[in-house]
Amino acid sequence: MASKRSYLLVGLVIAVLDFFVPFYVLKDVGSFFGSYFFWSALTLTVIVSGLLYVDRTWGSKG
Amino acid sequence: MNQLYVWISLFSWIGVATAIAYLAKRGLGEGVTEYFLGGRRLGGFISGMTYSATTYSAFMLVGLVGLTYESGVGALGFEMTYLTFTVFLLAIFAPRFWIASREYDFVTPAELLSKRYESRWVGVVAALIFLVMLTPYAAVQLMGIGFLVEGLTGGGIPYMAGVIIMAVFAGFSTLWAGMRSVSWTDAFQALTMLTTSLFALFYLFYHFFGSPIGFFTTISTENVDLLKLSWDPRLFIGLALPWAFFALTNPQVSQRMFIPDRVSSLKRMIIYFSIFGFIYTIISTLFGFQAANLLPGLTNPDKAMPMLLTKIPTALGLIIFIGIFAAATSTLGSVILTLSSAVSRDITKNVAPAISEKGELLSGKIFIPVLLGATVIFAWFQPGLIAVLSSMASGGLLVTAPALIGAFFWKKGTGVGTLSSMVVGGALTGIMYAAGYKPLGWWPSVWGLGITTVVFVAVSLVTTRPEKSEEFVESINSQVKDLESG
Repeated sequence: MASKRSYLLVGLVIAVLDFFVPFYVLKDVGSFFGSYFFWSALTLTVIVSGLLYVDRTWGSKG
Repeated sequence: MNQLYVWISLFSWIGVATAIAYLAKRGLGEGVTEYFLGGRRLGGFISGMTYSATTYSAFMLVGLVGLTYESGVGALGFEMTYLTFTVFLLAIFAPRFWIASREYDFVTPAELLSKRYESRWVGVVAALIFLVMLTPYAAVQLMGIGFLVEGLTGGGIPYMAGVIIMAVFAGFSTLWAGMRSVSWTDAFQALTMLTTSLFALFYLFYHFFGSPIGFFTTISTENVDLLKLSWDPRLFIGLALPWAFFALTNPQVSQRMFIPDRVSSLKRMIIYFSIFGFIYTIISTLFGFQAANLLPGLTNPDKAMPMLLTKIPTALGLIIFIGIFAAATSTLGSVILTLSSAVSRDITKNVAPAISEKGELLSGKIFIPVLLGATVIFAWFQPGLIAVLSSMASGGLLVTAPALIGAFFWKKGTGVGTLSSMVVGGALTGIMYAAGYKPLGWWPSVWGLGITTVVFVAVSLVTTRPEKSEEFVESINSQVKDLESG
């Protein structure tokens, strides 16, 4: 099933970004524009994409 | 803070919440589905607010503030990781849970597992895991309030008084009208949580730092170490992994995917929850940075928020206190109701299949005060740091993740595979947590998920597949496809 693979892929990409960028790229950045901003921005991106996906794909039924 | 003010504000708020629960009771019908799921007739706003209030608890404004106070930005990462994966999982699983619950009349998540894998013992064991793991999690809510009232009144109101008042109120509002009273009061509680904390956050910005920009500048210069990521990656994964799957593995939230009245309400539930979660997480961590700057040197980080409340005017402190009380009570009420549905539907009904619906419901209701008593005793012993304890509960529940995912996506998953994965994974994870054993430095949750997945797959491959597994998976997925194609 294609959707099963795409779910897995999206989940993996999110997990990799969520962990590796703060721990290995932004670790020593002493500013709100370091890990704090990155995690907030990543979450917001997933929220907006998730909501757009839900809104566009879950049809108009009910 | 004068304890009389605390009593007055507490009982005023309880009065309003009770009136809301009373209004909710008026629409209550008969039967198990009506009591535990509000008849699957809840709108998008109430569903979104009860999902939010159930998820976000005293942990946020007590535990997460403390964790940020102590360890900085890693606390935000841990909580945002939860939210990111929850939105992702809800987009995939919410329509599946929702459709399956209607087609097969599921009342509890354990029942979904039991019927999908065609084994009543799967339901019994899953319900027992929920009970064992969520009792400490429920107790954590009581502990949060106990610490808070004690800290706020300088010991004037003892820890156990806070614990008992909250337990009595949560028990009463849960027993009264089940999901209807819980979800309606949750909506009131969620709004209380968000507005009160926003108000206090901005007060602290302007009063102590001049402005929000002043706050960010001050922290960036005076508390710069907290903005650098100091967490051990293995600690982060150990704490974040169970929370990443929270939306699936915690029955008090996954059961909420059953309750919206229509797809558009389910959609709105996810939208409201995501917005709420993002704002509330940012607020909670900013409180942690404020406390670190204003109150350095606290030995118990869980007391950071109660101490912060002593720095603000009494009226504002009381408002925040009520917000935290609301957060804790809503989570406690939802957990208790879900566990009571598990006792009723997954244990009583599976062990005594001939029982009437009235008897089934009664067994769940009787269990509510029993469980609350157990959580009060647990809170009395005050175990561990709140954040670690909450994560341990989710770590244990993680053993249900492979079976829940497999229920919708892997036709070869079997009842024996599910049972053995939950029993072996649950026992090993529990032992590792209890013994404080972290092989190779990795947390028990990481090992637990790995072991559970391997056992689930391996045993399923060598045992007989449930007769209707193909029908279940294909039926649900084709309905989701229909839904997605409009």
